[in-house]
Amino acid sequence: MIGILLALLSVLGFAASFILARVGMRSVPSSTATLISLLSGSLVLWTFALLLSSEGDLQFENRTMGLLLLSGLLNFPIGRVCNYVGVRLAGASRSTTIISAAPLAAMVLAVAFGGESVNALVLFGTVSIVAGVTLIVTQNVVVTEH
Amino acid sequence: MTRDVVRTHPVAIGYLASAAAAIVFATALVVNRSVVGDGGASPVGSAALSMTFGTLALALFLLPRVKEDLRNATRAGVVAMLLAGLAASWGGGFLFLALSKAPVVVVAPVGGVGPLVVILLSRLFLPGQELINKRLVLGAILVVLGVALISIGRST
Repeated sequence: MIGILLALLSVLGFAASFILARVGMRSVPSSTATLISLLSGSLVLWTFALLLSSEGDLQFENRTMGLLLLSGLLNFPIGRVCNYVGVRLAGASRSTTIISAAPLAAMVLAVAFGGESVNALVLFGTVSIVAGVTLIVTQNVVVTEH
Repeated sequence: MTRDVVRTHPVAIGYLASAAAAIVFATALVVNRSVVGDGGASPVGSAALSMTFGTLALALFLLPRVKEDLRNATRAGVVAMLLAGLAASWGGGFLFLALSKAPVVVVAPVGGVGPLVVILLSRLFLPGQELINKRLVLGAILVVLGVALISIGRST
């Protein structure tokens, strides 16, 4: 039960961030908006890290540092900038729905490169995501900035 | 040329950017798993360090234009973006906490309801700015359902 409650708090945080980003990007360009959000976000994440980590947890080997650098470059200068460009141009609700289909991309990567097999649940899930995204992107919409 | 395409097809470019973000996030997840899963590093500490690297890289890239962007921005816009960053990290922090208390098979489907919450919040806080209709809600429900099925299917 506590796990579900914490997951819901997480959802609320992410959802609020998309709405706030939509408001902020009325006057701040997407890439600079991303940078501002990362500066404040880093503070929160380091606070969580310091509160939740025990001694030695924050010491990383060189290989791990390299992978974290790669992950940081993918997630933030590329992923989050694309994310915010999507929110600004397509709207928070439509962009978020498409981004939330990331598990489908992860599954395709796992099947293609990790040798993972596909079962009936995964197949139904894939069909459901594709149908949902198709419904959204084939609709004519106009997104207003203000 | 790029600006012309964005001006003439903004929503389509927004969809493409969102799809690109989804693919990049999925790829980064594979890297993160190799750090936290096989590497045994602290998940939240790894996330904080990874975000710091990303912030520094973006800051270096944007250095020449940040000053001008900030000069043209409103104070409300900057505050909203600072709060957006706090909220996103709040989301990330609680996700780590949730994963430490419950298995992925429980946390992932609950976390997947995000689009429905965003639609609700858009309706409440962005009235008239986003077209919220039955088609969007049905599409979001199908995506949420699909994400839950894939999460459960991959962990069984």
